[in-house]
Amino acid sequence: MLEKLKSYFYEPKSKIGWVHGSLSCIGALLLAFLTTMLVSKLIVGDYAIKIVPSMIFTPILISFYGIWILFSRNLMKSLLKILLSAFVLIFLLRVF
Amino acid sequence: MSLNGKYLNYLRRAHTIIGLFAVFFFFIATYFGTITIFAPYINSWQNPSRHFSKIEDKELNLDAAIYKALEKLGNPNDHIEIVLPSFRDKALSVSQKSVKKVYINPYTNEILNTKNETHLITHFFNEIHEGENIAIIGRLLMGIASVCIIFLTISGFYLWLTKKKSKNQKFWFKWHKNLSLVLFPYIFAFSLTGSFMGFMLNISSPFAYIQTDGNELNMKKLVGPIIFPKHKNMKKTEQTFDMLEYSKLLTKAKKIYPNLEIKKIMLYHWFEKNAQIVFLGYLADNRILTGNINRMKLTLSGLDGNIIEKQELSQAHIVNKFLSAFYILHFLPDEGLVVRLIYLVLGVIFAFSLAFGFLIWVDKKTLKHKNEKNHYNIISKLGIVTMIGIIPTSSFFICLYWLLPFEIYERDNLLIGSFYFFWAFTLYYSIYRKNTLAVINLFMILNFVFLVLAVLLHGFKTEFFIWDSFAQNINDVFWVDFSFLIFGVFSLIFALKTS
Repeated sequence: MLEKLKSYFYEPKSKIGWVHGSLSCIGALLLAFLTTMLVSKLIVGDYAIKIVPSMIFTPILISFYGIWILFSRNLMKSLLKILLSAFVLIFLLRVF
Repeated sequence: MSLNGKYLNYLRRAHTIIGLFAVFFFFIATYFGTITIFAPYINSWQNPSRHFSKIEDKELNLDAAIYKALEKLGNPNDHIEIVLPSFRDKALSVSQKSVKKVYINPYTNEILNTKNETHLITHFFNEIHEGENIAIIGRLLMGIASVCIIFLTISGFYLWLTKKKSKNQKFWFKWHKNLSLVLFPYIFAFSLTGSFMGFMLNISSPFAYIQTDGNELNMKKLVGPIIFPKHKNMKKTEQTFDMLEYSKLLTKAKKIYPNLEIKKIMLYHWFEKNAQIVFLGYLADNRILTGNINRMKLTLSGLDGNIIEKQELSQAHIVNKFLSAFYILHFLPDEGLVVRLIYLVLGVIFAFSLAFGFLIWVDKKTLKHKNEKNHYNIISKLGIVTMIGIIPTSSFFICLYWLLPFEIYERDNLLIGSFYFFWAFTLYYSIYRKNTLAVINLFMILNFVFLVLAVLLHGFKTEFFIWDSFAQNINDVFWVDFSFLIFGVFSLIFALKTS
């Protein structure tokens, strides 16, 4: 059972499946939102200046993060990319 | 296979799968968005009260018109909105807090009879364009489709850059790629503005949350007062005073702010000591930064015409300027017919690009099952209905708009229900009939029939046939009739040539 799970996560696939694709979508959404939320916290100005530009760039960032997560050798690499980046971004959000 | 080759395969498959999801929603958004570009002209066509032409040597008598309109509204004196005649609406409109509107013919100063006029065609088509016709999740779905299109644009561009050039490219692939590349800026602009309005505005709570440390989840409450500041309420006075004439105040405003193209006038505390008249518009030398979100204004005293406030572009909030430029590509607030015709051409080309992209997938699926006699693909049938069936369905709606009496109960719901009923029929027929070309031919013939009927019924109902509107120089009505007829004829020619 453990071996099966290990091979599922570590084996490189010839084409993306639903899990890899869904992971890329959800991960891209999460990371893009976290990034632009962090950026909006760092921008100096009133609420309009802090929030509106971040909101506009979020959809573009979703695409770039999606492609970055998609370009992963196996599922484990995708998961690691998402989890590590989310961890760093959440940490930075708390710090600032 | 090299790692790079594998990743490109991943990207190609992601482009295909996400494309299949987004194409249905975005095609609908493009089709109805392209129609609603001409909303000002279609509104004149669908509302008989606007079937009047310019009378030579007759200018708008602003004082008489506003006086008449205010009398009809019960003589309110605060938050009065006056929209001057423009290409958007030939009539002058006067309303109080947007509740009840009175429309005036600017050449005869007559109050227009707008009974039963609801702008239904343009409102309904715009609802479908935005996804508002699907309750609760529709707008969000359209927003998600827009985000998908951004991904498709970026991934498509990357795939084009990395793909080895080959001479033997299939027709659908070649033209999907070429058209999309040429329209890259147009697609990107529309998908970005669409994703902001449809997706981000619906999921803006995280930004409000993070800015207020969890105290506020509604982004509009934080940003709204900054971008759309409310007019400062002055103290009400009991005494009434004589105001300067509207025409004199308008002339004075044009003298003080010559490059302000005035579109709207607001009246506050009229006939009181604190009476204010606010002139709002865009700057003739800077339309991009003074769109709908960032109108420049000049405030004068109603009593003596003294300047209370003159807003220059440099005083506007930077986010207002940014959003004005951002939205202007999507909404064309002040652009006339030429720019809208360019957008029509670009919209049609983009629709073809989307259709060709879909056909790449359909072609591959058909080749895979070419030996199966009874192979059937529901997604390709849905594609026919979304991309072709929608054409006779929308012309059926326009025809039915004039066929149904205006006085019947729940007319709007009957029309909208009939629209979806006919669209469902196109799905039924495309499944029933195996021959796709025969299905498309019938749809094109139906489109011709409905459009010709719509033009004739419009003539019968309004007593303005196409030749009447031509003779009387009611240009917007004539050109809408003419465009419908031309589009109908093109559909018929297509059906005859491919039958």
